[in-house]
Amino acid sequence: MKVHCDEARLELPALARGELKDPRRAAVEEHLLACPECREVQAMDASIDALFECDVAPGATQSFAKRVRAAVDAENAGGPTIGAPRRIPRLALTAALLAASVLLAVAVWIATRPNVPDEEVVANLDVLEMLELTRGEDVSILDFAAIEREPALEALLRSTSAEEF
Amino acid sequence: MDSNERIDRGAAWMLELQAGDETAFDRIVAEYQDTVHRLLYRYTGRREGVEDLGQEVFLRIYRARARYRPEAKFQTWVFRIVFNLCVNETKSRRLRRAASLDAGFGPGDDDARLRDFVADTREDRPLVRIEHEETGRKLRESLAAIPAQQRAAMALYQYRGLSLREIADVMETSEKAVKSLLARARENLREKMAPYLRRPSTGEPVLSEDLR
Repeated sequence: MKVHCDEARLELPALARGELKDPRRAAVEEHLLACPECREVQAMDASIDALFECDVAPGATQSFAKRVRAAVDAENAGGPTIGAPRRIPRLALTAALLAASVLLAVAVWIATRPNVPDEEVVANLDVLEMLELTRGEDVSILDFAAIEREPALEALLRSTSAEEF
Repeated sequence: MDSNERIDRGAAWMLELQAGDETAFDRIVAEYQDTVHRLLYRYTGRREGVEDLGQEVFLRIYRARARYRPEAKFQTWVFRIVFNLCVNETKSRRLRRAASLDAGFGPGDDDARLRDFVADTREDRPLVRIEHEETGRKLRESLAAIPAQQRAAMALYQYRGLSLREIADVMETSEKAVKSLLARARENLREKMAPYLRRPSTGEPVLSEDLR
């Protein structure tokens, strides 16, 4: 039985573990003897395994078991589990969705309702009345900034002769 | 206690827990906590977050008590939970992990210093100081940077005591697929670790005996 490089390399982990059985094992070993490239791959793989062996993975901390017990007890009691994803109760989720729907409906109604005079317009109407009242009077009491913000008032102001002021 | 005995005891404890004996769960945690932590550490390549994942593994074991059936070896069943958690965790954090790993894996100053350090020790003393923290870090980073399935196969392979057949059982795949995953994982690791696995003077691989 002959094996090619790809097949031999596929079997290297099993060969390293002693899990490869004859005649496959013999065929792979024969290939390795004849193939310096695959021998190099085998050597580098063995080095990687050695590096893993030396990089000791740490075990659990002393407090871990207590932490897990506390999490389990909390879950059994229906409370939140520390460090674990929290489940949202179905009722709370429904209530939140309902509240969001109401808020959305209110927002849509506000955005699409007919225009009504708001405070600013009312304030400008006050200025208009004030303008009417003060024609020919002392202009120092006029709020020119408010007038300039309202085009209709500004036009009225321009149409008013200087003599009237 | 040998591996088979522990597997049987694990299944027995699980059945006791199923019957309402809460202390059986504490025995499971005591018995498997180190194994689970080491496997998680090997897979994630870092200490941070391992305890949270470990807790989630044991919570999943606890939550599964009602539907547990001792159909597989208990250790295989536990490792399957670890494997599924790791792969799902990787999927959900893929973008963030990729960004941080890519950022930390470039040919920066640390890499240059590490190569110099390893090269020096290789030339003068073949016994590379692999216990050096940075070499271990590079190895963990290399493993953490390869695809999730390959990484899981490699982490399970490096966990001594698991045969390729058992790894296939954990990953719920064929032994042939595990061989293929391991071959690709090793190819990726050889590529990433090449500067630390070859002698600078000759380009030949460092012998594994020199690394131990």
